[in-house]
Amino acid sequence: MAKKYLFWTLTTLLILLAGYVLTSTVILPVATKNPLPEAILPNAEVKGENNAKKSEKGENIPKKNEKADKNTKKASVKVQPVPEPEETGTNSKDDLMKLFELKKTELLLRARYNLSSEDSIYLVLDLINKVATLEMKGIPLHDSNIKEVWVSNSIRMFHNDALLHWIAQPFVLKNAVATIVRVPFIVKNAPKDTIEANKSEVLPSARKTEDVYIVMNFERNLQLVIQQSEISEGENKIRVDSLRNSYVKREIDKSIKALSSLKREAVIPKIILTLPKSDAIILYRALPQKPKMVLRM
Amino acid sequence: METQDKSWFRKYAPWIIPVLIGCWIPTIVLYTPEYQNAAYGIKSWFTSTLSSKTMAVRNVDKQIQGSKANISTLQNKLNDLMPEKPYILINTTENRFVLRNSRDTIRTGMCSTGKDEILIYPNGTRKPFKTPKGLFTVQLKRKNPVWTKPDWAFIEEGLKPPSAHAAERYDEATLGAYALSIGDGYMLHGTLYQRFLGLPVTHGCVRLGDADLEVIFNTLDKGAKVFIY
Repeated sequence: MAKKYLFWTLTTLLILLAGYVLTSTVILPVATKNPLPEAILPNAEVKGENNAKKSEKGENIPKKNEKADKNTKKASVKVQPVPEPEETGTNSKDDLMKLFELKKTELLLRARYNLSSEDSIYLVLDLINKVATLEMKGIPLHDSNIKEVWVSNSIRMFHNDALLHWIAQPFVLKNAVATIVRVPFIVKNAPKDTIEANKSEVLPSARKTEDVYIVMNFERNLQLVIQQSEISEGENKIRVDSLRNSYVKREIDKSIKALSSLKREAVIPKIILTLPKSDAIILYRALPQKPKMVLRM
Repeated sequence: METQDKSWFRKYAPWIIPVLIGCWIPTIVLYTPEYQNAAYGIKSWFTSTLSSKTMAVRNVDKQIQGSKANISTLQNKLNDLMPEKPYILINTTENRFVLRNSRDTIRTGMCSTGKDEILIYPNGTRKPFKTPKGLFTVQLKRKNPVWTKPDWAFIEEGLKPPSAHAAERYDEATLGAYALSIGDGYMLHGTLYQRFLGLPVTHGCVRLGDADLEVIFNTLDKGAKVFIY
Protein backbone atom coordinates (compact mmCIF):
# COMPACT_ATOMS: atom_id res chain seq x y z
CA MET A 1 0.00 0.00 0.00
CA ALA A 2 2.89 2.34 0.93
CA LYS A 3 4.50 1.70 -2.43
CA LYS A 4 1.25 2.57 -4.14
CA TYR A 5 1.13 5.95 -2.39
CA LEU A 6 4.79 6.55 -3.15
CA PHE A 7 4.20 5.73 -6.80
CA TRP A 8 1.25 8.09 -7.09
CA THR A 9 3.04 10.86 -5.21
CA LEU A 10 6.07 10.61 -7.50
CA THR A 11 3.90 10.44 -10.60
CA THR A 12 1.90 13.51 -9.54
CA LEU A 13 5.07 15.42 -8.69
CA LEU A 14 6.66 14.57 -12.04
CA ILE A 15 3.53 15.58 -13.94
CA LEU A 16 3.28 18.82 -11.98
CA LEU A 17 6.95 19.56 -12.58
CA ALA A 18 6.61 18.84 -16.27
CA GLY A 19 3.54 21.03 -16.42
CA TYR A 20 5.31 23.82 -14.56
CA VAL A 21 8.35 23.73 -16.85
CA LEU A 22 6.19 23.58 -19.95
CA THR A 23 4.00 26.44 -18.79
CA SER A 24 6.73 28.71 -17.50
CA THR A 25 9.21 28.24 -20.30
CA VAL A 26 7.09 27.73 -23.36
CA ILE A 27 3.39 28.33 -23.04
CA LEU A 28 3.45 31.55 -21.04
CA PRO A 29 6.31 33.26 -22.91
CA VAL A 30 4.87 32.30 -26.26
CA ALA A 31 1.32 33.16 -25.33
CA THR A 32 1.89 36.35 -23.43
CA LYS A 33 5.21 37.90 -24.31
CA ASN A 34 7.06 38.88 -27.37
CA PRO A 35 10.45 37.36 -26.76
CA LEU A 36 12.25 39.42 -29.36
CA PRO A 37 14.14 42.53 -28.38
CA GLU A 38 12.71 45.71 -29.77
CA ALA A 39 14.50 48.39 -31.70
CA ILE A 40 14.64 51.93 -30.42
CA LEU A 41 12.18 54.02 -32.30
CA PRO A 42 12.72 57.71 -32.94
CA ASN A 43 9.62 59.77 -32.33
CA ALA A 44 9.68 63.08 -34.07
CA GLU A 45 8.27 64.29 -37.36
CA VAL A 46 9.65 64.61 -40.84
CA LYS A 47 11.00 68.09 -41.23
CA GLY A 48 8.57 70.38 -42.97
CA GLU A 49 5.55 68.21 -42.58
CA ASN A 50 2.05 69.59 -42.43
CA ASN A 51 0.45 70.71 -39.19
CA ALA A 52 -2.13 67.95 -39.15
CA LYS A 53 0.43 65.55 -37.78
CA LYS A 54 1.78 67.98 -35.23
CA SER A 55 -1.46 67.78 -33.30
CA GLU A 56 -0.82 64.11 -32.72
CA LYS A 57 2.79 64.51 -31.71
CA GLY A 58 3.41 63.19 -28.24
CA GLU A 59 -0.13 61.96 -27.82
CA ASN A 60 0.70 58.32 -27.68
CA ILE A 61 4.43 58.25 -27.26
CA PRO A 62 5.51 55.19 -25.35
CA LYS A 63 7.84 55.89 -22.42
CA LYS A 64 10.62 53.78 -23.91
CA ASN A 65 10.88 56.21 -26.80
CA GLU A 66 12.08 58.97 -24.50
CA LYS A 67 15.41 57.18 -24.31
CA ALA A 68 15.33 56.75 -28.04
CA ASP A 69 15.24 60.49 -28.55
CA LYS A 70 18.60 60.90 -26.96
CA ASN A 71 20.07 58.14 -29.08
CA THR A 72 18.68 59.37 -32.34
CA LYS A 73 19.38 63.06 -32.22
CA LYS A 74 21.61 62.74 -35.23
CA ALA A 75 18.89 61.21 -37.40
CA SER A 76 18.21 63.64 -40.16
CA VAL A 77 14.68 62.47 -40.85
CA LYS A 78 12.36 61.57 -38.05
CA VAL A 79 8.85 60.27 -38.13
CA GLN A 80 5.86 59.94 -35.89
CA PRO A 81 5.91 57.30 -33.21
CA VAL A 82 4.27 53.99 -33.83
CA PRO A 83 0.79 54.22 -32.34
CA GLU A 84 0.21 52.55 -29.03
CA PRO A 85 -2.71 50.17 -29.37
CA GLU A 86 -5.76 50.57 -27.18
CA GLU A 87 -8.66 48.30 -26.69
CA THR A 88 -11.36 50.93 -26.46
CA GLY A 89 -11.80 52.19 -30.00
CA THR A 90 -13.94 50.86 -32.77
CA ASN A 91 -11.67 51.19 -35.77
CA SER A 92 -12.17 48.65 -38.48
CA LYS A 93 -9.58 45.97 -39.05
CA ASP A 94 -9.07 47.23 -42.60
CA ASP A 95 -8.11 50.70 -41.38
CA LEU A 96 -5.70 49.28 -38.87
CA MET A 97 -4.12 47.01 -41.45
CA LYS A 98 -3.84 49.95 -43.83
CA LEU A 99 -2.13 51.99 -41.13
CA PHE A 100 0.14 49.08 -40.31
CA GLU A 101 1.21 48.69 -43.94
CA LEU A 102 1.76 52.44 -44.30
CA LYS A 103 3.86 52.51 -41.14
CA LYS A 104 6.01 49.67 -42.46
CA THR A 105 6.60 51.53 -45.72
CA GLU A 106 7.35 54.70 -43.79
CA LEU A 107 9.88 52.96 -41.55
CA LEU A 108 11.61 51.41 -44.54
CA LEU A 109 11.90 54.76 -46.30
CA ARG A 110 13.12 56.49 -43.14
CA ALA A 111 15.73 53.79 -42.50
CA ARG A 112 16.91 54.03 -46.11
CA TYR A 113 17.12 57.80 -45.89
CA ASN A 114 19.07 57.72 -42.64
CA LEU A 115 21.45 55.08 -44.00
CA SER A 116 22.05 57.22 -47.09
CA SER A 117 24.13 59.55 -44.94
CA GLU A 118 26.63 56.76 -44.28
CA ASP A 119 29.57 55.84 -46.47
CA SER A 120 29.03 52.13 -46.85
CA ILE A 121 26.91 49.78 -48.89
CA TYR A 122 23.83 48.41 -47.13
CA LEU A 123 21.17 45.82 -47.89
CA VAL A 124 17.49 46.60 -48.34
CA LEU A 125 15.38 43.49 -47.99
CA ASP A 126 11.83 43.92 -49.21
CA LEU A 127 10.12 40.63 -48.46
CA ILE A 128 6.75 41.92 -49.66
CA ASN A 129 7.97 42.57 -53.19
CA LYS A 130 10.62 39.82 -52.90
CA VAL A 131 13.53 42.03 -53.81
CA ALA A 132 16.95 42.29 -52.18
CA THR A 133 18.70 45.53 -53.10
CA LEU A 134 22.24 46.67 -52.54
CA GLU A 135 22.12 50.37 -51.94
CA MET A 136 24.53 53.19 -51.23
CA LYS A 137 23.78 56.86 -50.62
CA GLY A 138 20.14 56.14 -51.44
CA ILE A 139 21.03 54.83 -54.89
CA PRO A 140 20.13 51.23 -55.75
CA LEU A 141 23.24 49.48 -57.04
CA HIS A 142 21.95 45.99 -57.64
CA ASP A 143 18.52 44.37 -57.44
CA SER A 144 18.09 40.64 -56.89
CA ASN A 145 14.79 38.88 -57.27
CA ILE A 146 14.23 36.58 -54.33
CA LYS A 147 12.99 33.22 -55.56
CA GLU A 148 11.69 31.99 -52.21
CA VAL A 149 11.28 33.40 -48.74
CA TRP A 150 10.80 31.44 -45.55
CA VAL A 151 10.02 33.35 -42.36
CA SER A 152 9.92 31.63 -39.00
CA ASN A 153 6.66 31.48 -37.07
CA SER A 154 8.11 33.56 -34.24
CA ILE A 155 8.25 36.55 -36.61
CA ARG A 156 4.84 35.85 -38.09
CA MET A 157 3.39 35.87 -34.58
CA PHE A 158 4.58 39.39 -33.81
CA HIS A 159 1.93 41.85 -32.77
CA ASN A 160 1.82 44.62 -35.35
CA ASP A 161 3.25 47.28 -33.08
CA ALA A 162 5.98 44.93 -31.87
CA LEU A 163 6.93 44.13 -35.44
CA LEU A 164 7.13 47.84 -36.26
CA HIS A 165 9.42 48.38 -33.27
CA TRP A 166 11.53 45.43 -34.27
CA ILE A 167 12.10 46.53 -37.87
CA ALA A 168 12.27 50.25 -37.10
CA GLN A 169 16.04 50.46 -36.97
CA PRO A 170 18.53 48.87 -39.36
CA PHE A 171 19.91 45.50 -38.28
CA VAL A 172 23.68 45.41 -37.87
CA LEU A 173 25.53 42.22 -38.72
CA LYS A 174 27.25 40.54 -35.77
CA ASN A 175 28.89 37.67 -37.63
CA ALA A 176 28.56 35.64 -40.79
CA VAL A 177 29.63 32.22 -41.96
CA ALA A 178 29.59 31.20 -45.60
CA THR A 179 30.75 28.50 -47.96
CA ILE A 180 32.45 31.16 -50.08
CA VAL A 181 35.14 33.61 -49.08
CA ARG A 182 34.40 37.31 -49.10
CA VAL A 183 37.55 38.23 -51.02
CA PRO A 184 39.08 35.31 -52.90
CA PHE A 185 42.72 36.44 -52.70
CA ILE A 186 45.44 34.44 -54.42
CA VAL A 187 48.93 34.89 -52.99
CA LYS A 188 51.79 34.96 -55.51
CA ASN A 189 55.52 35.37 -55.03
CA ALA A 190 57.23 37.91 -57.28
CA PRO A 191 59.37 36.22 -59.96
CA LYS A 192 63.13 36.42 -59.51
CA ASP A 193 63.78 37.38 -63.14
CA THR A 194 62.09 37.84 -66.50
CA ILE A 195 62.52 34.19 -67.45
CA GLU A 196 60.60 33.07 -64.38
CA ALA A 197 58.00 35.78 -65.01
CA ASN A 198 57.40 34.51 -68.55
CA LYS A 199 57.17 30.92 -67.35
CA SER A 200 54.62 31.70 -64.66
CA GLU A 201 52.39 33.72 -66.97
CA VAL A 202 49.02 32.02 -67.43
CA LEU A 203 46.01 33.09 -69.43
CA PRO A 204 43.33 34.50 -67.15
CA SER A 205 40.06 32.64 -66.85
CA ALA A 206 36.69 33.15 -65.20
CA ARG A 207 36.59 32.48 -61.47
CA LYS A 208 35.02 29.24 -60.37
CA THR A 209 32.94 29.82 -57.30
CA GLU A 210 31.72 27.25 -54.85
CA ASP A 211 28.02 26.87 -54.15
CA VAL A 212 26.59 29.44 -51.81
CA TYR A 213 25.15 29.02 -48.34
CA ILE A 214 25.47 32.01 -46.06
CA VAL A 215 24.35 32.37 -42.46
CA MET A 216 24.29 35.94 -41.20
CA ASN A 217 23.58 36.64 -37.54
CA PHE A 218 22.29 40.13 -36.97
CA GLU A 219 21.64 41.96 -33.76
CA ARG A 220 18.19 41.57 -32.17
CA ASN A 221 18.65 37.80 -32.68
CA LEU A 222 17.78 37.86 -36.36
CA GLN A 223 19.34 35.12 -38.41
CA LEU A 224 19.35 35.57 -42.18
CA VAL A 225 20.19 32.56 -44.30
CA ILE A 226 20.93 33.03 -47.99
CA GLN A 227 20.99 29.95 -50.14
CA GLN A 228 21.28 29.50 -53.87
CA SER A 229 18.36 28.36 -55.99
CA GLU A 230 20.56 26.05 -58.09
CA ILE A 231 20.83 22.49 -56.79
CA SER A 232 24.20 21.63 -55.29
CA GLU A 233 26.02 18.49 -56.37
CA GLY A 234 29.15 16.58 -55.45
CA GLU A 235 31.72 18.37 -53.33
CA ASN A 236 29.68 21.55 -53.28
CA LYS A 237 26.74 19.69 -51.79
CA ILE A 238 28.98 18.23 -49.10
CA ARG A 239 30.31 21.71 -48.26
CA VAL A 240 26.83 23.25 -48.10
CA ASP A 241 25.42 20.36 -46.07
CA SER A 242 28.38 20.52 -43.72
CA LEU A 243 27.75 24.17 -42.93
CA ARG A 244 24.01 23.64 -42.58
CA ASN A 245 24.53 20.62 -40.30
CA SER A 246 27.07 22.46 -38.19
CA TYR A 247 24.39 25.04 -37.43
CA VAL A 248 21.83 22.37 -36.56
CA LYS A 249 24.44 20.73 -34.29
CA ARG A 250 25.14 24.07 -32.65
CA GLU A 251 21.41 24.53 -32.04
CA ILE A 252 21.14 21.08 -30.49
CA ASP A 253 24.16 21.78 -28.24
CA LYS A 254 22.59 25.07 -27.18
CA SER A 255 19.32 23.30 -26.48
CA ILE A 256 20.98 20.67 -24.34
CA LYS A 257 22.81 23.38 -22.37
CA ALA A 258 19.58 25.33 -21.98
CA LEU A 259 17.80 22.24 -20.79
CA SER A 260 20.51 21.20 -18.35
CA SER A 261 20.64 24.65 -16.78
CA LEU A 262 16.86 25.17 -17.02
CA LYS A 263 17.58 28.51 -18.63
CA ARG A 264 15.46 29.16 -21.66
CA GLU A 265 17.38 30.45 -24.69
CA ALA A 266 16.02 33.37 -26.69
CA VAL A 267 14.05 32.50 -29.75
CA ILE A 268 15.98 32.96 -32.98
CA PRO A 269 13.79 34.57 -35.60
CA LYS A 270 15.02 33.25 -38.89
CA ILE A 271 14.57 34.33 -42.50
CA ILE A 272 15.72 32.07 -45.31
CA LEU A 273 16.13 33.57 -48.77
CA THR A 274 16.67 31.60 -51.93
CA LEU A 275 18.46 33.60 -54.59
CA PRO A 276 20.18 32.81 -57.87
CA LYS A 277 23.80 31.87 -57.14
CA SER A 278 25.27 34.86 -58.96
CA ASP A 279 23.12 37.31 -56.99
CA ALA A 280 23.94 35.64 -53.68
CA ILE A 281 27.66 36.01 -54.43
CA ILE A 282 27.26 39.65 -55.49
CA LEU A 283 25.36 40.50 -52.29
CA TYR A 284 27.81 38.77 -49.98
CA ARG A 285 30.94 40.16 -51.60
CA ALA A 286 29.67 43.70 -52.02
CA LEU A 287 28.64 44.14 -48.41
CA PRO A 288 31.24 45.43 -45.93
CA GLN A 289 32.38 43.47 -42.87
CA LYS A 290 29.66 44.88 -40.61
CA PRO A 291 26.88 45.80 -42.98
CA LYS A 292 23.51 47.19 -42.06
CA MET A 293 20.24 45.83 -43.34
CA VAL A 294 16.76 47.25 -43.44
CA LEU A 295 13.79 44.99 -43.58
CA ARG A 296 10.29 45.30 -44.94
CA MET A 297 7.92 42.44 -44.34
CA MET B 1 -0.68 -6.98 0.48
CA GLU B 2 2.59 -6.97 -1.47
CA THR B 3 1.06 -9.20 -4.11
CA GLN B 4 -1.81 -6.69 -4.44
CA ASP B 5 0.67 -3.82 -4.88
CA LYS B 6 2.64 -5.70 -7.53
CA SER B 7 -0.45 -6.53 -9.53
CA TRP B 8 -1.60 -2.92 -9.25
CA PHE B 9 1.78 -1.72 -10.57
CA ARG B 10 1.64 -4.20 -13.43
CA LYS B 11 -1.85 -2.95 -14.27
CA TYR B 12 -1.06 0.78 -14.40
CA ALA B 13 2.61 0.90 -15.37
CA PRO B 14 1.97 0.43 -19.13
CA TRP B 15 0.01 3.68 -19.36
CA ILE B 16 1.68 5.69 -16.58
CA ILE B 17 5.07 5.46 -18.30
CA PRO B 18 3.81 6.67 -21.71
CA VAL B 19 1.98 9.51 -19.93
CA LEU B 20 5.20 10.61 -18.25
CA ILE B 21 7.15 10.32 -21.50
CA GLY B 22 4.33 12.16 -23.24
CA CYS B 23 4.69 15.04 -20.77
CA TRP B 24 8.43 15.27 -20.90
CA ILE B 25 9.18 14.86 -24.58
CA PRO B 26 7.15 17.92 -25.70
CA THR B 27 8.73 19.86 -22.82
CA ILE B 28 12.22 18.94 -23.95
CA VAL B 29 11.46 19.58 -27.60
CA LEU B 30 9.69 22.88 -27.03
CA TYR B 31 12.38 24.01 -24.61
CA THR B 32 14.92 24.31 -27.40
CA PRO B 33 15.25 27.54 -29.36
CA GLU B 34 15.16 25.76 -32.69
CA TYR B 35 11.91 23.98 -31.97
CA GLN B 36 10.18 26.81 -30.19
CA ASN B 37 9.28 27.82 -33.69
CA ALA B 38 6.83 24.93 -33.56
CA ALA B 39 5.17 26.44 -30.52
CA TYR B 40 4.61 29.65 -32.43
CA GLY B 41 3.17 27.61 -35.25
CA ILE B 42 0.67 26.04 -32.88
CA LYS B 43 -0.23 29.46 -31.50
CA SER B 44 -0.71 30.93 -34.95
CA TRP B 45 -3.04 28.06 -35.78
CA PHE B 46 -5.13 28.83 -32.69
CA THR B 47 -5.22 32.56 -33.33
CA SER B 48 -6.30 32.08 -36.91
CA THR B 49 -8.96 29.61 -35.81
CA LEU B 50 -10.38 31.58 -32.91
CA SER B 51 -11.78 35.05 -33.34
CA SER B 52 -9.25 37.61 -32.18
CA LYS B 53 -9.96 40.83 -30.36
CA THR B 54 -9.83 43.91 -32.56
CA MET B 55 -7.18 46.33 -31.41
CA ALA B 56 -7.86 49.99 -31.89
CA VAL B 57 -5.65 53.01 -32.30
CA ARG B 58 -6.57 56.58 -31.60
CA ASN B 59 -7.34 58.79 -34.59
CA VAL B 60 -6.63 56.15 -37.21
CA ASP B 61 -7.75 58.36 -40.08
CA LYS B 62 -5.47 61.16 -38.97
CA GLN B 63 -2.61 58.75 -38.51
CA ILE B 64 -3.17 57.28 -41.97
CA GLN B 65 -3.07 60.76 -43.46
CA GLY B 66 0.02 61.57 -41.40
CA SER B 67 1.75 58.41 -42.48
CA LYS B 68 0.91 59.06 -46.14
CA ALA B 69 2.37 62.54 -45.85
CA ASN B 70 5.50 61.15 -44.19
CA ILE B 71 5.90 58.59 -46.96
CA SER B 72 5.52 61.26 -49.60
CA THR B 73 8.11 63.50 -47.91
CA LEU B 74 10.56 60.66 -47.45
CA GLN B 75 10.07 59.48 -51.02
CA ASN B 76 10.81 62.98 -52.28
CA LYS B 77 13.90 63.18 -50.11
CA LEU B 78 15.11 59.85 -51.46
CA ASN B 79 14.40 60.96 -55.01
CA ASP B 80 16.48 64.06 -54.34
CA LEU B 81 19.43 61.81 -53.58
CA MET B 82 19.48 60.51 -57.15
CA PRO B 83 22.37 62.20 -58.95
CA GLU B 84 21.22 64.70 -61.52
CA LYS B 85 24.32 64.09 -63.61
CA PRO B 86 25.20 60.73 -65.16
CA TYR B 87 26.98 58.19 -62.97
CA ILE B 88 28.43 54.73 -63.35
CA LEU B 89 27.97 51.46 -61.43
CA ILE B 90 30.76 48.88 -61.55
CA ASN B 91 30.00 45.31 -60.54
CA THR B 92 33.32 43.69 -59.60
CA THR B 93 31.84 40.21 -59.17
CA GLU B 94 30.44 39.98 -62.68
CA ASN B 95 32.85 42.50 -64.23
CA ARG B 96 30.10 44.58 -65.77
CA PHE B 97 29.28 48.25 -65.75
CA VAL B 98 26.06 50.26 -66.03
CA LEU B 99 26.19 53.90 -67.09
CA ARG B 100 23.12 55.73 -65.81
CA ASN B 101 21.48 59.07 -66.09
CA SER B 102 19.29 59.53 -63.02
CA ARG B 103 17.14 56.37 -63.30
CA ASP B 104 17.70 55.66 -67.01
CA THR B 105 20.35 53.31 -68.29
CA ILE B 106 22.56 54.87 -70.95
CA ARG B 107 24.86 51.96 -71.59
CA THR B 108 25.87 48.61 -70.14
CA GLY B 109 28.82 46.42 -70.93
CA MET B 110 31.76 44.38 -69.79
CA CYS B 111 34.78 45.61 -67.96
CA SER B 112 37.73 44.12 -66.11
CA THR B 113 38.37 44.70 -62.45
CA GLY B 114 40.95 43.67 -59.85
CA LYS B 115 42.29 40.12 -59.91
CA ASP B 116 42.26 39.83 -56.10
CA GLU B 117 45.87 38.79 -55.91
CA ILE B 118 48.55 39.52 -53.34
CA LEU B 119 52.04 39.89 -54.82
CA ILE B 120 54.84 39.21 -52.36
CA TYR B 121 57.95 41.25 -53.20
CA PRO B 122 61.42 39.73 -52.77
CA ASN B 123 61.80 41.85 -49.61
CA GLY B 124 58.58 40.40 -48.18
CA THR B 125 56.32 43.40 -48.84
CA ARG B 126 52.77 42.38 -49.73
CA LYS B 127 51.02 44.29 -52.52
CA PRO B 128 47.30 43.56 -52.96
CA PHE B 129 45.72 43.95 -56.39
CA LYS B 130 42.08 44.63 -55.65
CA THR B 131 39.50 47.09 -56.91
CA PRO B 132 38.30 49.16 -53.98
CA LYS B 133 34.56 49.21 -53.28
CA GLY B 134 32.42 52.19 -52.42
CA LEU B 135 31.67 55.62 -53.79
CA PHE B 136 34.27 57.53 -55.78
CA THR B 137 34.18 60.62 -57.96
CA VAL B 138 35.85 61.39 -61.26
CA GLN B 139 38.72 63.65 -60.26
CA LEU B 140 40.57 64.02 -63.54
CA LYS B 141 39.85 63.27 -67.19
CA ARG B 142 42.70 62.73 -69.62
CA LYS B 143 42.92 62.03 -73.33
CA ASN B 144 45.79 59.87 -74.57
CA PRO B 145 46.97 59.24 -71.01
CA VAL B 146 50.52 58.26 -70.23
CA TRP B 147 50.91 55.67 -67.53
CA THR B 148 53.65 56.23 -65.01
CA LYS B 149 54.47 52.66 -64.11
CA PRO B 150 54.74 52.04 -60.37
CA ASP B 151 57.28 49.69 -58.78
CA TRP B 152 54.97 46.68 -58.74
CA ALA B 153 54.68 46.77 -62.56
CA PHE B 154 58.41 46.01 -62.75
CA ILE B 155 58.57 43.63 -59.82
CA GLU B 156 55.72 41.58 -61.26
CA GLU B 157 57.75 41.11 -64.47
CA GLY B 158 60.88 40.07 -62.60
CA LEU B 159 62.59 43.43 -63.18
CA LYS B 160 64.25 45.81 -60.79
CA PRO B 161 62.30 49.08 -60.48
CA PRO B 162 64.16 51.96 -62.14
CA SER B 163 64.63 55.41 -60.59
CA ALA B 164 61.55 57.62 -60.10
CA HIS B 165 61.82 59.57 -63.35
CA ALA B 166 63.44 56.96 -65.57
CA ALA B 167 62.17 56.79 -69.15
CA GLU B 168 61.07 53.13 -68.72
CA ARG B 169 58.43 54.28 -66.29
CA TYR B 170 56.41 56.10 -68.95
CA ASP B 171 54.04 54.01 -71.05
CA GLU B 172 51.87 55.69 -73.70
CA ALA B 173 49.97 52.64 -74.98
CA THR B 174 48.62 50.65 -72.02
CA LEU B 175 45.86 52.96 -70.80
CA GLY B 176 44.12 53.34 -74.17
CA ALA B 177 42.65 56.55 -75.52
CA TYR B 178 41.11 57.93 -72.33
CA ALA B 179 41.49 57.72 -68.58
CA LEU B 180 39.25 58.93 -65.77
CA SER B 181 41.06 59.13 -62.46
CA ILE B 182 39.00 58.30 -59.34
CA GLY B 183 41.73 58.88 -56.74
CA ASP B 184 44.43 56.87 -54.96
CA GLY B 185 45.95 55.94 -58.31
CA TYR B 186 42.83 54.08 -59.48
CA MET B 187 41.41 54.85 -62.93
CA LEU B 188 38.81 53.85 -65.46
CA HIS B 189 40.84 53.39 -68.63
CA GLY B 190 41.21 51.47 -71.88
CA THR B 191 43.19 48.32 -72.48
CA LEU B 192 45.33 46.50 -74.99
CA TYR B 193 43.79 43.24 -73.82
CA GLN B 194 40.20 43.61 -75.04
CA ARG B 195 39.79 39.83 -75.07
CA PHE B 196 40.04 39.75 -71.29
CA LEU B 197 37.08 42.08 -70.73
CA GLY B 198 34.61 40.41 -68.39
CA LEU B 199 37.44 38.77 -66.43
CA PRO B 200 39.11 39.88 -63.21
CA VAL B 201 42.61 40.65 -64.47
CA THR B 202 43.60 44.17 -63.42
CA HIS B 203 45.77 45.48 -60.62
CA GLY B 204 42.86 47.49 -59.21
CA CYS B 205 41.87 49.85 -62.04
CA VAL B 206 38.77 49.30 -64.14
CA ARG B 207 39.52 48.47 -67.78
CA LEU B 208 36.91 49.18 -70.44
CA GLY B 209 36.47 48.39 -74.11
CA ASP B 210 37.34 51.17 -76.57
CA ALA B 211 33.78 52.01 -77.64
CA ASP B 212 32.43 51.90 -74.07
CA LEU B 213 35.30 54.01 -72.81
CA GLU B 214 34.63 56.73 -75.37
CA VAL B 215 30.95 56.95 -74.37
CA ILE B 216 31.82 56.95 -70.68
CA PHE B 217 34.51 59.59 -71.15
CA ASN B 218 32.12 61.84 -73.05
CA THR B 219 29.21 61.26 -70.63
CA LEU B 220 30.82 61.51 -67.21
CA ASP B 221 31.93 64.95 -66.13
CA LYS B 222 34.53 65.76 -63.55
CA GLY B 223 32.86 65.13 -60.17
CA ALA B 224 30.60 62.38 -61.53
CA LYS B 225 29.89 59.54 -59.13
CA VAL B 226 31.45 56.11 -59.57
CA PHE B 227 29.89 53.35 -57.46
CA ILE B 228 31.98 50.21 -57.22
CA TYR B 229 30.47 47.13 -55.54
